Amino acid sequence: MITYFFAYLTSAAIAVSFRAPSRTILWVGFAGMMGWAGYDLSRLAGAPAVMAVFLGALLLGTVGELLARWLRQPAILFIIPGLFPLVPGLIAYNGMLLLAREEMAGAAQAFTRALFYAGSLAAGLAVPPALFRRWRS
Amino acid sequence: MAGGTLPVRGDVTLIAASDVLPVAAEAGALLLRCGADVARVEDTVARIARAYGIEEAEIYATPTGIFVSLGGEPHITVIKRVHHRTMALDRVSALNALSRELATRPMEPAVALRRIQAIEEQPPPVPSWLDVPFSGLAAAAATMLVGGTLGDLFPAFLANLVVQGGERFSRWLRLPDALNDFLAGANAVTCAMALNAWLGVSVGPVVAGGIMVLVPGIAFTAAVRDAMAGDLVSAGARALEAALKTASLASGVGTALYLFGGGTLL
Repeated sequence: MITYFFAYLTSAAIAVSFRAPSRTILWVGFAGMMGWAGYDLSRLAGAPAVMAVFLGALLLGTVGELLARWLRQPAILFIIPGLFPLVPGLIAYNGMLLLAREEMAGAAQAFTRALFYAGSLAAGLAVPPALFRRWRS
Repeated sequence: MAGGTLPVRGDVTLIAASDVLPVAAEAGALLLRCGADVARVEDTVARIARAYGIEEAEIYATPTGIFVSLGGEPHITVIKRVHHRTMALDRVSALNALSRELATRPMEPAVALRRIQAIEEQPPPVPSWLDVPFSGLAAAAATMLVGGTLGDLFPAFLANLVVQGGERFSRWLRLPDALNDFLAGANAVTCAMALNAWLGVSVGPVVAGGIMVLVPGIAFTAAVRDAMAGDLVSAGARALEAALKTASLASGVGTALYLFGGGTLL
């Protein structure tokens, strides 16, 4: 459960350093926590990681669009910092490190994983705007 | 356009495309500099053109520049080059508000241009020296999400402060980006080794925390997103940027580990 708190903190703190407007920061943290919750709960329910990342992004995107309409802000304000707990940056970095150690199999595995994570994140994020497009605030 | 009155025909304000072009292009370039994605930039620029009654607008944005071509006879085009991109969501938010305002209540292009320049110069919502401590906090918290323990929290925060501080310094020295990232990776390892000797914390989570904010996870996701939206040039550019950044970081980390490890890599 404590990871939820840290997911909130991660998104809210990165939002400050990305210079999000002050009054949105607590909500950015909330969006990030919802994204993490989508991922974490799907993992607990036994979903494979790529599926869980997709569902996390789906939830994050939906919360982002709702907050965007409610607070009259662009949705990316919530989605970019909210993505931070889910992005596969460290996985890709591990792949590069393995590449430097000439452990090709491990590197290929890490890169493939990072690519699939990024792909399912992007796919998950693509759905909510398509559904919400008709509803202009 | 003296006296602030705009020539109007019906509901559509008639303004020459040559007056609108600087406004639209400047708004687009500013959005790109603030880290907005190209689909959003193209959309906003088209909306600004439409607000001035210009229906024929071709906009082509990439992370490194934007082309705006506005209609009428003849077509006129402007190119704006974008060199550096730093995330500044407050400016994205302010420009979004401005483009909404333009759509409902058109203002003179010169006024709109001044508003855009004011957005570019507005002070950040929190003082910029707080950027580093807050990204350190984010990195420390994110370390918990990738399997760190509570004991790693403070060392990861400390490592991130040092790494980010060093990165700001080398950016201030105007070193090439790849070298910045290489040094940041090496810095993270040095920091982790020092903390290991001092507090006995394990090296892995501290290195991860140190470089957490620098690994281009968001850029990587944005690249795939752009590719899905059909913005292939932008996707390629972002993927290349992310790959180069990751490689520089990892080789910095690898080199430092090699030096500290007395000749064996990791």
